[in-house]
Amino acid sequence: MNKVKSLYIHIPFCTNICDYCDFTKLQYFRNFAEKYLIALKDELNSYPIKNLKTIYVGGGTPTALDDDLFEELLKIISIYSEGVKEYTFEANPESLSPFKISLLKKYGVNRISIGVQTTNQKILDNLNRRHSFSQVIQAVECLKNNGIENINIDLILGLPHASKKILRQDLTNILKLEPKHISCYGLTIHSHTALFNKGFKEPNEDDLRLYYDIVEEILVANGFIHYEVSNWAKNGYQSEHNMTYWRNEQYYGIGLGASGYIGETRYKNTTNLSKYLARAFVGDKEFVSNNDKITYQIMLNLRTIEGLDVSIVKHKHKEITEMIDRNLLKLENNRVFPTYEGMMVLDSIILKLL
Amino acid sequence: MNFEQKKIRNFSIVAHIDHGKSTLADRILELTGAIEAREMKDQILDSMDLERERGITIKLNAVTLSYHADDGEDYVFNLIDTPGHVDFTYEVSRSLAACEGALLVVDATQGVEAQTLANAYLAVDNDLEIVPVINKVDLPSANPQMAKDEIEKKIGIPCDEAVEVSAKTGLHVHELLEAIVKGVPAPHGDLNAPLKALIFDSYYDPYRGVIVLVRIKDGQVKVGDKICLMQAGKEYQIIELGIRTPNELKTDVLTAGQVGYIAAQIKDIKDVRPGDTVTLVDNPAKEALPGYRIMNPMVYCGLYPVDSDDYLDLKEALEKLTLNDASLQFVAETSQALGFGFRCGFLGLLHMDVVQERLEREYNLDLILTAPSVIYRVHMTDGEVINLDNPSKMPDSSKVSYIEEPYIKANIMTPKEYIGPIMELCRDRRGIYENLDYFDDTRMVLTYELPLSEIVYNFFDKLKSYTKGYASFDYDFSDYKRADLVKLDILLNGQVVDALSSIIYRPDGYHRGLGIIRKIKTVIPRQQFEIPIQAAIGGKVVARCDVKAVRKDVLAKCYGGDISRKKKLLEKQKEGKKRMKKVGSVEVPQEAFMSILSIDEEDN
Repeated sequence: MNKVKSLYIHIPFCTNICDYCDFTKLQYFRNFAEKYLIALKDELNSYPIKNLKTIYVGGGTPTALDDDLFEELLKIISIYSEGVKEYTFEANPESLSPFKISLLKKYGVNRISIGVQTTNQKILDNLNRRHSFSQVIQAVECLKNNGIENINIDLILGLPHASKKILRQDLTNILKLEPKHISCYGLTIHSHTALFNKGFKEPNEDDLRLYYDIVEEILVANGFIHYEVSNWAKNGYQSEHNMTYWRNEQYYGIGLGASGYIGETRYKNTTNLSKYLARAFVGDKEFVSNNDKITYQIMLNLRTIEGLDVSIVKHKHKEITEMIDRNLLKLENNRVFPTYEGMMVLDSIILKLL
Repeated sequence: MNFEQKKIRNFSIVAHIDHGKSTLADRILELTGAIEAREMKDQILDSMDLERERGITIKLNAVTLSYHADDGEDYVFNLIDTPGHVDFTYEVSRSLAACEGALLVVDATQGVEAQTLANAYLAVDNDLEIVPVINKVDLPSANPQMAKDEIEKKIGIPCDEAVEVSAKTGLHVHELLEAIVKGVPAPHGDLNAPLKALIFDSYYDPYRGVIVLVRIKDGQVKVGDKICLMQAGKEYQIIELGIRTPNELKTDVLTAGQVGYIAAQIKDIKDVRPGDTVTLVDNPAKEALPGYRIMNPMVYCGLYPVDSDDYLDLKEALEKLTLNDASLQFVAETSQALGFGFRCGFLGLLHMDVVQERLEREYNLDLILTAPSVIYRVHMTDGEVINLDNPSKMPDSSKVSYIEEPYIKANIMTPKEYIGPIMELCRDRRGIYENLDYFDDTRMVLTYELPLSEIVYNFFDKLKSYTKGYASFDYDFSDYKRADLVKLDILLNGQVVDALSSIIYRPDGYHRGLGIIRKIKTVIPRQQFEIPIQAAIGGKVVARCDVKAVRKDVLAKCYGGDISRKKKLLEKQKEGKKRMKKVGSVEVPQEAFMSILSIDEEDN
């Protein structure tokens, strides 16, 4: 029986590269994108994909494709999208044109994740992001006019020149758009990114925590549920696709550099476009033993307030009790899950339970 | 080979560290045909990797060589290598006792140094004939005449016939071999007397048991003979005899004057003590040879396995090391913080370092060392005197009348421009000034009495950095002196950590305490709760700092592609945590236990 119910598709192209980005991404060239879509179709065909519950198209920038190629992509996916409960596209505000939005609507996409990062224009310019907040407002309005209400906004905390004041302003601006879902990520600076090369540093632990405290305070006050370390949603709008990862369930990963988990194998596709176009899709494979599976279960399940079946860590009774006393964990209905405080220091919790 | 006594020459090479002793030994080996040049590793007698890496000789080593001299005769040379570092004086005296002569090597660019003097005096004490050798004469900055003048003036050995060599290029090493034939006396043992053989080293061989290296002083010994180790009172039958060239060469008999090895299925390494005398059961010697001055350890520390399952392995490894390192001592001890381990005694800090590295490399052990301590003499109010080698065992202060600590006499030889900084350093370390003398036109010898505990704590490094490496240093135990000492405790999360206790000079209490806790703060990672670190003297907290609780440690993103990477990262962290010790509920990394040693005054 096929238990894989989720599909991730990676579109690696961007019209411009953001300074912090560590994902598999390439400057957009139409010529490559055309070939890429054909290869992508072949890769999809190589798996027995059916009866999906969620599809997530991420990048790169899926909306960077020219309109005809964008529709081509939607057509390729349409074979699999029937009956899907949650169908997400990632988008940049500047490339989310009314025409593309109409295509998304037409092909049944029902959730959009917009990379906003901050609403502060100076910081955006510094990051080589080519959009303004007014473009975000227009895009959101247009999505809503097309009946796509399930919108996520991504924010990055601790960007160069960030401050608590700017963060509060960001949150106020974004709440006015009435998104159903907000993701907040601490800035991580990877080598080989422009930010790293410019000598910028990641925010320190204490500053980053202060930023998260502000987000928590404001979003919870506005009716959001903090359901995962970096994710807040209105009730009923938790991302089903992302929950697949955190429930340690299987998923297909399709496209350059995408990762998947099928059966007892976790795999990562090649990040080399020539190899990908030569149909050498899979790069690394990891066999997941029963022990590994438990490790994954612990580290992933504890990220959300759904938590972990306590019987999996029953030999850690003392540690769990201690952490419940420290207000890091809670135990209800035989599931152990993190408090807000626990989500912030989840690594230290997991290390005690592994 | 011809083993007539008059054709035998037994000698050691002594020198200040880096004056080229091991290189010269290699060259002698090469010229006597013991090894072909192409077989040579650099410094073949330094058999441990550690020795070769650090360029120091730790273990002594003996080799038998044959030499066809210019007089047409064939001679047998027994070369016994010696360590050059001040910590290993004991080993030098061991090898000297097996010889009739010593080559005193002096670097022609450096002249006489502190340990040249110390080692030369040891050789003279052992009634050895000294053959002066001026080395490194190929270097442009060499000044052989200066080196000779210094040997004559400072040590009182005539240098008319000193050989000027370059061990590196082999220049005049042949002349040196001739000088050995002429200058080193032949042994004059009594072939017909009962067997007396001096044990000067031993090592363990898994197939043959303990192999004993001996110098036959009187009589002879054959395969099959029953022997007795006089001090240990143990008897064995000899199954194999031989010499090392340096490859082992079996023989049927060893006679007076020879140096060789004995294998007698000796199982218990504790039975073989260097300095003991081997004799025959059937025809025993009346009395044993004088043996060695037993060197007492000066520095003690706790040695604990990181993984408590390794305790027995550590014990076995220490037993093996003591086999040929009589100066290493150990007894089992328990620490609340560290579990089961050993209190070990060392001749000095380098010795401690070397033992630690050998345990970690040769025996593959992960160790935690507590800060080194000297032996304090604690006088109790009831008149009892306790020798204290573990600060955490300090009796309650109400029962202590006074405490004495060991002092050393340090001779520091230095170019005169560094006298000021060195005197300041010695004053900071509670040194008592004794003397200042000109050694020659440019160098002076400063004599200070210093508490040993102050030397233990980064004195060498300081001396080196104050003098750009030009000062040389030699010390000897002098006596115990009364001092205002007090136990400094470190508390983690309110709990005294026994392994972090130290005994300090009371007026330094606050600064030392603060220095230590600040250092510890930098090595303890943030944990799920705030951890106060306190320094306390006599139960009273004198300084405090805190390790804040972890505030944010989880990476914000964990989607499809991040999952495998994140697992690997967590597993790596988990491994790192395994290397930490749990003190109460606090996880403490190994470095914390050494932080007492590594604090710098600048940090205070």
